[in-house]
Amino acid sequence: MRRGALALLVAMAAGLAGGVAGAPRAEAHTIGGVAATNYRSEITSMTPRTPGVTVRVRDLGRRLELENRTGEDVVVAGYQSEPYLRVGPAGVFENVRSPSLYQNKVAPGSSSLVELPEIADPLAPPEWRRRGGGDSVSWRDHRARWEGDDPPAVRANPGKEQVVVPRWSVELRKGAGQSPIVVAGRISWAPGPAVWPWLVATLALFGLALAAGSTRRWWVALSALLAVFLAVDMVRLYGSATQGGGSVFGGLVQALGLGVLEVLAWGAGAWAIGAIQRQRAVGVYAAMAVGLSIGFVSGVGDLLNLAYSQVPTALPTPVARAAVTVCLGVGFGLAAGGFVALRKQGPVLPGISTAASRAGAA
Amino acid sequence: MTGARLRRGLALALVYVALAAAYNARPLFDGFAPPAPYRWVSPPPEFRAGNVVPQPATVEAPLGPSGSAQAGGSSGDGQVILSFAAGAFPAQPPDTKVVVQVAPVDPATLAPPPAGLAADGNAYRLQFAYEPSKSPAAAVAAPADIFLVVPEPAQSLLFSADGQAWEVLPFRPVPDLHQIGGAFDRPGYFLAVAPPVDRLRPGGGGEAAGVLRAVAAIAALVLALWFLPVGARRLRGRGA
Repeated sequence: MRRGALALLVAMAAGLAGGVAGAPRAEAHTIGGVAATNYRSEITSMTPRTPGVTVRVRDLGRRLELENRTGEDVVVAGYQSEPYLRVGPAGVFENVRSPSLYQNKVAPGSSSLVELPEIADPLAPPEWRRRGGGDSVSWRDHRARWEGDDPPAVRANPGKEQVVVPRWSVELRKGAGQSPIVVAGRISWAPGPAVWPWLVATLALFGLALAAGSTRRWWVALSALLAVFLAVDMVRLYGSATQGGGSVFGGLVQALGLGVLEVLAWGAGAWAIGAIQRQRAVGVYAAMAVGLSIGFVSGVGDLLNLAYSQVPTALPTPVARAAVTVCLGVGFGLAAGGFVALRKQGPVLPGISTAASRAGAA
Repeated sequence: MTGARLRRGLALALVYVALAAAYNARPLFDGFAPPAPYRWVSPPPEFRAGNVVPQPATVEAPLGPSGSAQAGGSSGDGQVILSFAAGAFPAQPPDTKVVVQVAPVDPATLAPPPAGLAADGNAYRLQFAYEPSKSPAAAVAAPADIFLVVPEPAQSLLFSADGQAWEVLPFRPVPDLHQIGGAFDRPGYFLAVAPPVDRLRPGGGGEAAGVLRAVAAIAALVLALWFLPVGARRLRGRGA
């Protein structure tokens, strides 16, 4: 028993240590593929303000989104001011002659070199290719996101919030007259929060779940913790799935699609709640497996959300961090608490050999 | 718990540490540099951090028998560019040159722009003086142009001889949205203007409501997850 608990604790501590030690230099990729960061991208102005035209920062600045409800075409200018994208009554189009089209296909971190096809020419008349319907388009834009090494001012004073790009701008052109609209924004360095309070909370939750397994009414405590654990993870996944915008329904569908394994774990966990309430050992086993799997996927997978200021989630950042804490602490704690319950409450769990039952048999 | 289990647990921990280390791969720079930030005399609040004071400029137009030679120049930060055609300044013996001083000015210290417009960046004051006599030049006799870099696309370029009342200068089209140019014939103040910038406030005020919504959603889910099995058992019990 002691060695089992020790193994779990060692695994959890090592996981936490490994993840947190790398936190300041790493980027946490969530289920949606967006990396947590300390660089905050925001839109500060639109000149002139144009009713029906909305531009948003998505994916923590990795993407920009244009929504056009003016009834006229709005063209997004590329890096060389060439027509790049067009959104209008006929749908969404991309200019195959625009170099930006090919430059933006490069994922951050994959390469710094872009080989442009011969067709790419910023001075050529645009050749529009329909991308789809709708009145909005989102695109990866290198102007709105910090992608380089930390600037000297940040390296010199990483604990201070500071503006690193006072002004980036993207030009839009509206209607037949190509009236210019300039969307401007800035990129700031926002230091990450202190990690230790969240780690303390994680350890406290782990201890709570561990203790739940040794209480007299362990089935009440464990099933309640499992219910809280699953609920928190459901809300956490919903927040991750909808961080890029969209409707509640769309977010739910996206969450279910992105986290298929997680959804299966939820099903198993929901079933385990009833089984534990009936004090069935198989329910405890299921809770342990669900706790470990979600603990790793949601807790360890999003661990670096605790260390960065900009977290890819639609939830308020403190809620997202608390969710990671619950997934870690309660998830691994359920595994440990379940183990304790199986060993100490053996007589009420059919098929489990415990010290007490072995003594009785002898 | 056997030793083999303990070893498996440790192996699991090591695998995770290796995965965590793999996350440390850093993104490469894709090669897009942001434009140089605008330098403000009096920056808006969002640009105060990191603002660099704009630089003045001095342009010298050598004088000959037929007046000044063609001359031009820009401020060290490139935010103002001047161009004088030959003969812009009449000859004034024994002076040898005309010195044009350009200084950035906080537009809030000058007359307000016309209704519906706002200052688009700094104002710039131009002064002409013959050297070495130091006598001022009141006008230019041949075309002279000024180009200002602006933080937002400008609508008009204004001129004021004394900073108390503005007039619109003839507009000179510039392909760059962040420049505006115009022709002038007198020293004085120059100011680009644009519709007031709609400074969008970043979100964040709704965080408390978001926390409440998340907590409510979690509470509802907990109740559902906890009581559904109980309800199901009761239903089954009644059925039996």
